[in-house]
Amino acid sequence: MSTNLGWNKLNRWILALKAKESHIKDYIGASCDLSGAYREVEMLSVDMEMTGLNPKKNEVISIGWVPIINGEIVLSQARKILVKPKFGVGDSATIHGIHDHHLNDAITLDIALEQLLKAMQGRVLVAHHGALDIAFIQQAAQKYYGHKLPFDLLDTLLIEAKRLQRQGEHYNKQLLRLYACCDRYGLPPLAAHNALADAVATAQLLLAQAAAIGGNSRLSVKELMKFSH
Amino acid sequence: MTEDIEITEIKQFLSAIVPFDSLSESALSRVAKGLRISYFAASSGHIEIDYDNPQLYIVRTGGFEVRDKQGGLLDRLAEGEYFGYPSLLTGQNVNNKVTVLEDGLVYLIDLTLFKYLRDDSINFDRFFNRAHAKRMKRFSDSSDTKRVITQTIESIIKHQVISISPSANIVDAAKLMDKHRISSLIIIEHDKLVGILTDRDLRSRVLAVGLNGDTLIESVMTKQPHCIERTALLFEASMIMSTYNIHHLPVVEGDIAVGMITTTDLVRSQNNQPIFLIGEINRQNNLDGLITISKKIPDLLQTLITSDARADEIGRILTLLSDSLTRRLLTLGEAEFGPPPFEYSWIVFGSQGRMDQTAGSDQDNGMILAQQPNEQQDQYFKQLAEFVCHGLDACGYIYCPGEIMAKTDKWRVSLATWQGYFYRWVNTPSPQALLNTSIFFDMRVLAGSETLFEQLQQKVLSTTRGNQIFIAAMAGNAVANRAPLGFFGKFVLDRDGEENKALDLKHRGVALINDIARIYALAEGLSEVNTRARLEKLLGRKTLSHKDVKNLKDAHEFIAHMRLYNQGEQVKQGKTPNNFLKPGDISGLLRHQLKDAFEAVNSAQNGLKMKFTRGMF
Repeated sequence: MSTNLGWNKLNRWILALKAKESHIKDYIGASCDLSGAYREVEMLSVDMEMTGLNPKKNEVISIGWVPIINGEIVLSQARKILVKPKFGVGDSATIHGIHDHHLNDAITLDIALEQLLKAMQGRVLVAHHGALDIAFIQQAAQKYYGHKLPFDLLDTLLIEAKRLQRQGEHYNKQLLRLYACCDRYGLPPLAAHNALADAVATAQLLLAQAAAIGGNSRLSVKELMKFSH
Repeated sequence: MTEDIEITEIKQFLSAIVPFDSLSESALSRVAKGLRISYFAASSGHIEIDYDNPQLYIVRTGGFEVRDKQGGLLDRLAEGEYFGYPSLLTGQNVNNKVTVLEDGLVYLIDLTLFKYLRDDSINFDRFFNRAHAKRMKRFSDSSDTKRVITQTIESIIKHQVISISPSANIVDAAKLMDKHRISSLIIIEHDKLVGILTDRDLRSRVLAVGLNGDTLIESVMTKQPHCIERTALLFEASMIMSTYNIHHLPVVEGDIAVGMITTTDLVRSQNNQPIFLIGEINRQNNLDGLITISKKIPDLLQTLITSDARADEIGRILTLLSDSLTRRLLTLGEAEFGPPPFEYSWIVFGSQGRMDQTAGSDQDNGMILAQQPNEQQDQYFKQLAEFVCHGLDACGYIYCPGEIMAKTDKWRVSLATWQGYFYRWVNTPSPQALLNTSIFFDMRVLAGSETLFEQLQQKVLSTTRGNQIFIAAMAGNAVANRAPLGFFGKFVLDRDGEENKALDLKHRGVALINDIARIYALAEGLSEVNTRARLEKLLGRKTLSHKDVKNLKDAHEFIAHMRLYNQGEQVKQGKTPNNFLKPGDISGLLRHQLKDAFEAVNSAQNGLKMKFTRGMF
C-alpha cells in the first residue's frame, strides 16, 4: 500500500462512496499504479467524435478506443461505438462523415458510457486534447450517475506542447493537431476524424513520445504525466 | 452496436507488401485487426526479443539491423520488411541481435496468427521459408525461358571433333568428310588446333589449281583460323563469320578444339535479328547507311529486355553492335583516307571495354600508334579518328564528356607514350588522379594490331600485379561511394538533383562491382576486362572467397538487370532512359532482392577496404 494518500486517491475514495451501481464502483475502485513503468501499466487510448465542442449543448456520436498493453497497441481489443444523439448530427457531418442514417442502429449514450468505463477500468486514459473528451464524459456521468468520475489522463497534446516548449520551439495550435504531431515522429497517417483511427494514431503518438522522452531508461507513468499538464 | 473496427490504412499497407499481397481478403482483414503495434527508439539501442513468445516484426517506419551472435551483419531493414521469422519458423531461440537504427513503428504478429497466415497462402509460407533458408540465392538464375538470341555456342555444338593430321593427304581428308557427311575438318597436330580444311578449300585451292590427291593437307588448309570460345554467344560466332565472310568456325576451350560451328548451325538457331543487323552494318558503304541501322538498336534492346535475356548477355550484344559499327567506320575511313602510314591499334575503354554497354552509352576510345608519328602522319590518324568518333556520335554513341576519344590528341599516341601514361598512374598514384583513370584499366582492342595492344596490356599488368600502393589508392576510391544502404529509415537513398527519391543503379550499384572486380583483377594481374569474366577468373584464388565471388556475380547480374528493366520501362513511357530507379515502381519482393544485392556490394567493399587499404584512407 502506498503511504501517500494523494488527492487522486482521496477523490476516488469519495466518488466510490457516491457511486450506486456496481460497475461504477468497480471502475472507480480500480486505480492504476502510476509509479509503474509505462510499458507495464495498461492504458486505453480514446477518441470521440461530437456534434460540436460544447459539452452542454453538443453530443457524442462516436467513441473509438484501443488498449496499450505492455507498451504494445493491441488492435484485437479495439472498439468503435456509434452513439445515437438526441438531436441530429447537423453540420458536423461534414467533419466526421457520420450522417444521421449511419446512426440508425447506434446505441444510447448511457450504454456507450458503461462499455467505455468497462474498457477503461484499471487503465490510464490516453487522449489527444483529453480535456474535451473528459468534459463530455463528465457531462454524461453527471446526468446518468449524479456525480463525476475520476480519470488518470495522459494527454498527448499537452505532452507535445511541453516537449516543443522544452526544445525552445514556438508552437501554435496547428503544430499541436494530432496529425501534425504524428508527422513529427514519422508516424504513418491514418484516416482523420474517425474515432478509432484517431485513437490508434493517439496511441502511436504516445509510444513515440514516451520513447523520445524515456530513451533507454525506465519511464514511469507518473513521470510521463509531468509532461501532461 | 459496434462498427467494423478495421483500420483501412493498416490493411492497405499490408496488402501492398510481399508476401501479404498473396493472402486472401479474409486473412488480410484478420491480420489488420489482430496485430499489435509497437514503437522502438534508436536511443533504446537494441530490441529485447522474448523468445518464449516469438513474433513476426513488420517494419512500418524506421530502420533496423539484424546481426548474428558473432556480430556479423545479417540484414538491414526498412519499411515493409521483416525480422523475427527464424524463431517463428523453427521454434528455436535464434540469438540474433536487433538494433534500432532509426526510431520506428513495428507491427507484430504472434505465432497463432502467423501459423494461420501460412495455412492461408502457400506463397506466404514459401516466402518466409525461403527468406529463412537463403538470401542471395533468391535471385540467381530463376528463369530458364528459352532465349534464342542469347544462346551460347556450347548449347548447340555436338561434342564431336572430326579431325585429321596436317601431314595426311587431301584424299584422306575428303574421304573422312564424306564419311561423316560434314563440310569441314579440324586439323590437329600434337593435340593442338593448327588449321581447318573446308569443302571450299578443296575446290578452290586443290581442284581449281590442278593439284593432285597426294597433296598434303598442311599446304592447302587455312592456318591459324579464327576460333571461338565454347562459352561465347552464338551471336558472337555469327558476328565473326559475317565480319570475315567465313562459314566455319572451330570452337575451342583454351588451345583445345572441342567442335565446329557453321553458318548452317546458326541459321538453324534462328537468332537472326542481331545477326541481321551485324550483316547490314558490314554491307554499308557510307555513314548515312550506318546511322539508319543504328536507329534499329533501341528496338533490339527492347526486344532483348522483354525476352528476359540476362543483363550480361544484353551488354555483350549491344557492345558487339557498337564494335561492328566502329570497325565498319574504320574500314570506311581507311577507304577514304587511304591505308595508314604504319600500324595502329584501335582500343576501347570503360563499358565498351568491359562489354557491358547499355542504352545511351557514350564512347570511350583511343589509338595506339606503332611509332611516334611525324606531323603528316599524325594528320592522317587524326582525320581517321575524327571520322570514326564523329560517325559513332551520329550513330547515337555520344562524344565522351571527358574527351577520352581517339580524336583527342592526348589519346592518339605511340605505344611508348601510352606506357608512360600508365606508368605514371600506377607508380605515382594519388586517389584524386586515379579517380578519372579507372576506365582506362578496362581496355580491349577492337581493330588494327593486336600485338601493339598486348604489349601495352602486359606492361600495365606487370606493374599493377602486387603493387600495394597503387591497389590501395584504387581501393580507397572504390569504397568512397557506398551502396545505397547507408541511410536508414527508408530503404533508398534520396538523391539530389532532378531525380530525387531514386536509386542510382549505375554509380551506386553496377559501377561499384565493376570497381571491385577491376581492383582484384589488377592486383592479380588478370587480363580479363569483363566484370563477370574477372570474377569467374578470381574463383579459386585466395584473394576473394568463393562465396563473395558468387554473391557479387549474382548482385551484378541483378542490379544490371534492374537497370535494364527500368530503362526498358522508361523507353516504353517515351522517356529518355537513365540510371535512376524509383523504388516505388517495383514490387516489394524486388526491393528485397535489390537490398540483398546492395548488401553484397557493401560487404565486398568492406572486404576490399580491409584487404587493400589497411587504414591508409
